Amino acid sequence: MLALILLLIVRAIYVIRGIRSEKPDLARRDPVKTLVVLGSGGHTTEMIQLLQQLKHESYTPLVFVVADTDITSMRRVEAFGARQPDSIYRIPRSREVGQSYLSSIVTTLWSFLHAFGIVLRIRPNVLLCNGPGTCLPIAIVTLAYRILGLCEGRIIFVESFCRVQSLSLTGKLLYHVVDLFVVHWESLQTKFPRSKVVSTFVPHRKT
Amino acid sequence: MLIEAITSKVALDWMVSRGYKSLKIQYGKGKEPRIESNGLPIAIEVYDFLPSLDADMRKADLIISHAGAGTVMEALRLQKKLIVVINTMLMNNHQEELAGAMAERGHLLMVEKPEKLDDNLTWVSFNDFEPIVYEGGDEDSFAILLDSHLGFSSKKAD
Repeated sequence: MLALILLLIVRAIYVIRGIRSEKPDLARRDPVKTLVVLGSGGHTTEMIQLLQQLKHESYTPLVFVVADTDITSMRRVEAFGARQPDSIYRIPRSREVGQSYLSSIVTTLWSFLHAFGIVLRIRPNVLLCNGPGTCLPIAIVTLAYRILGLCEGRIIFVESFCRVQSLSLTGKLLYHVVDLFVVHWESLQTKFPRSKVVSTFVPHRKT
Repeated sequence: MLIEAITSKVALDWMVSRGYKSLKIQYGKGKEPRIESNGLPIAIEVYDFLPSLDADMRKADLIISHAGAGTVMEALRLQKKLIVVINTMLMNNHQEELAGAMAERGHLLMVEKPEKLDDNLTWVSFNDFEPIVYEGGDEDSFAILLDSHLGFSSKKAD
């Protein structure tokens, strides 16, 4: 038992060090099974826009996870004429707006429980998420399975382009454990050196 | 707060003096506001919510709104003259960050509290405002980053 725990710790350190070394992969030919968490509202809209530019043949199959109370995300996917996923999973939301602290502990545990089942069935090569809280259980469970060697589980977090000076709570929590942390403003990138800046929404200032 | 500020005598006088003939207001939740044009030649229309503001935003010459990211980006995309009034009732509203950054780049004007609109000088200061057109970003910037991170060749497939 002790040996097993030690082995797990060593493996966890190895994986986290790998993540933090930030070495890009050398060459990849096979497509990656891509799991995307649609966070509802503006988060979903931003995610759809990010997905639109990804090559279909590289990022396939495509799987969506949506909060069970979220009825607008999939409508948005249709409204944008965006690529339809190969499958969709529903997860209980960890926290509704205005929910009390105590009851959010219970609902968070509940959505973690679901996340264990969902991620085990999907075993993604890549997880793409951009907040809010809904993506947290999925991201943590993906990391756990990666440590256990159950999936490749590369985690990509994209901060909302509304974030110019500060990270979201989900962003702060995931900053150190994701493979790629993406922001949209140079002012934010300078504060968080692990992050990479893209100009998908905000053109870079010409200097 | 914002609705009172943009329908005050000061505000309507300024609008009329600038040649605006129609004012449309989405008031959102709450009671329908009672607004009178006091004989000024400006047609005022109010509604609580429209399924999409797109049609009215396209027709507008000037848009005044709070800092909601959706509205801000839509107005900039349509290349409209936009004035964002900070909602001082909301604490830690991070959406102001976005409006602030866009204001800093000259894409919109920002007013730090609705009370400022009681002052005629605030309105007069809008007269010379010519926004810098928001060009949008490089759409495939994220795909290029992700491809290279995962080891996909960055060459576009034929």
